[in-house]
Amino acid sequence: MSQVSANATEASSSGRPILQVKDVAVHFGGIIALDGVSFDVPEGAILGLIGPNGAGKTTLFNCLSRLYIPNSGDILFEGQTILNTVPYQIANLGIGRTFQNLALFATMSVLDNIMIGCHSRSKSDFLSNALRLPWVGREESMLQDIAWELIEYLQLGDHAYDPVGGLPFGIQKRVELARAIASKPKLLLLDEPAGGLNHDEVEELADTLRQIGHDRNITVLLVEHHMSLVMAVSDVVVAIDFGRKIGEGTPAEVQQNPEVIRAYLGTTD
Amino acid sequence: MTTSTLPDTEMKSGGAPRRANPADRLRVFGVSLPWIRRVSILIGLALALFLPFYMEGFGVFQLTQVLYLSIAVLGLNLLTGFTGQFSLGHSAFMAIGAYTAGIMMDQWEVPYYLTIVPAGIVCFAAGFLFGLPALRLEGLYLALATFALAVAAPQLLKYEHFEPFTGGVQGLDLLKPDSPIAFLSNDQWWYYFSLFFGVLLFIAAWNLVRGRTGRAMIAIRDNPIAASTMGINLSLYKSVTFGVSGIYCGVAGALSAIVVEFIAPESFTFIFAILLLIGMVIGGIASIPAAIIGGAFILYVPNFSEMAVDFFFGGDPASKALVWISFGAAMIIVVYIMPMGVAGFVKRNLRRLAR
Ligand SMILES: Nc1ncnc2c1ncn2[C@@H]1O[C@H](COP(=O)(O)OP(=O)(O)O)[C@@H](O)[C@H]1O
Ligand SMILES: [Mg+2]
Repeated sequence: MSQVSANATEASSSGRPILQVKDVAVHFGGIIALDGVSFDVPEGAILGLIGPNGAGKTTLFNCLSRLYIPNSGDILFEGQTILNTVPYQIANLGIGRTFQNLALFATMSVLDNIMIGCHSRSKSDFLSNALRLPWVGREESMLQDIAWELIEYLQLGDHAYDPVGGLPFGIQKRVELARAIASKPKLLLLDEPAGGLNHDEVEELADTLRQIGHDRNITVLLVEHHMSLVMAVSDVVVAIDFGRKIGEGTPAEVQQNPEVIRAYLGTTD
Repeated sequence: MTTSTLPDTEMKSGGAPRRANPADRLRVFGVSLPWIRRVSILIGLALALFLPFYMEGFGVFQLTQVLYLSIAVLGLNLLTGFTGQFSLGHSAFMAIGAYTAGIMMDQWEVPYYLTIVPAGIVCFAAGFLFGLPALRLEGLYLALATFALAVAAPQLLKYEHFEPFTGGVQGLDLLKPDSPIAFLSNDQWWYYFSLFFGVLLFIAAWNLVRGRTGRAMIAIRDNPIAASTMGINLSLYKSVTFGVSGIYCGVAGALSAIVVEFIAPESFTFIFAILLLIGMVIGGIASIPAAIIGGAFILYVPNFSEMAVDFFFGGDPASKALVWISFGAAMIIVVYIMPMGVAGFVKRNLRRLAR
């Protein structure tokens, strides 16, 4: 636990928030998925976003990747609104993500999937690729270096050339994580990375998440159901329910929060 | 330098160790898979270069047709096989290429060899411009829109106000000079002329799909939302792929006009667009060499069907219909035996034989 508190002090010392969610509301017809949610993600921190099923966590992620447009409110990344940014430019800004239900390129190999993660960091185009200009070869080589480093880092070496669609779920989850890190994001959005993993895999994931934050200088916004994981790795926790924020603070504070306890325990009545 | 977008200082200069693909170590009859690949390419090239010397005029003419049909199938494969955008309208792009070349030769007396590149450029523009509105369409709706293009193209070519250029229903007779090389017959010369463009376009396609662009194309096919999240500009890639696909069909169309020395609206009906799609599926979706198999299939199999029907039911006036029936039967048999196309079939069996 000492590591966590060290992490927290470091995060708070780095000052300004990298991401500011301001009063974001999203409606789907009559359904109110988000009802004015606000919170800041400090640079360098791991922020855990928790909430029961249907609370609106994935919806918020989809707003952050500009797949959805909020009905009201604003989202600032490094002080700038992202609401005017087209979806494919989000990666260029430095926001990477994984998906709750996996969104890999099923027919492609693990290596190619991770190399696509580098798309926003490279620039060869139709003409230069068709002609295979000399600098294209060098760029490919650089992308391969990045991909292989992540393949070793996340222990995917045995499957590097296998089509991703046929791999076990836990491995696919790691591929998706590697693909997201490959874009060298400043902010990484992880939607239930522990979902479907067994106990050992969750332990490993906890280590990986701490390392990502520290070694690679990536701020992490973590949506997770697995409470012990969230509480172990997060510097700050935000809890939402029915599209509203019901608690915010250190893991210890949020665990004591009566509203949070009610949201989690009271779902049966 | 152009690669300066990768200011990745934390990477050690050598990078992490790269592992070899275990599949490359597999051997079939003692030969490793990469060598099988290399040797097949060499054999293919040798065949392509020397076959015309062992065939008669009409045989060489048919080989030339296989060449430009393969180019068109490859163009369709880049769009449909790799990027996942359906098209039932690629006969229209071939028509545009053929008429660009034809009109240049017929109206402006441009030498035939200068018409190929313009045909490619015109079809790039046509493909790109069609691709823009098509961005809003997906799957079956895109197939329908492209089908409309295929149905409209022959009608537009017949339109009376275009007749001074297009020759209307009659089409255009194109005359071209004889083989400039003494030891090559005319048929052989047209073959090598087409082969030159074929080899260039196949190499370009191969380069394209194994690089950043090809990965992006396949990513769009596999999962467009994730592709967009990775920073891939879907609209740009889809519409440019439409244009590139147009280049291939445009060049194929121009070559067909030159080689056949005649173009008419009826050469580019929607049946032809469907034949291209059949060639792509039979050869193998998202495979480059498969386009050659596809081109050969749509040229030879209808011919063989015709010969077979002639042989068995020669006198029967209903035998015309039987040609299509036996073509259909051949298609069903191939798809049944090789559900992944010929390319997939070869690949799977090589893996099976490998140890
Ligand atoms: N595209 C959509 N269309 C309609 N309703 C949606 C859509 N996406 C999410 N919702 C609804 O919004 C609410 C929040 O969902 P979600 O963000 O997926 O929750 P969580 O990820 O916290 O489990 C749910 O009631 C869900 O049914
Ligand atoms: Mg969710």
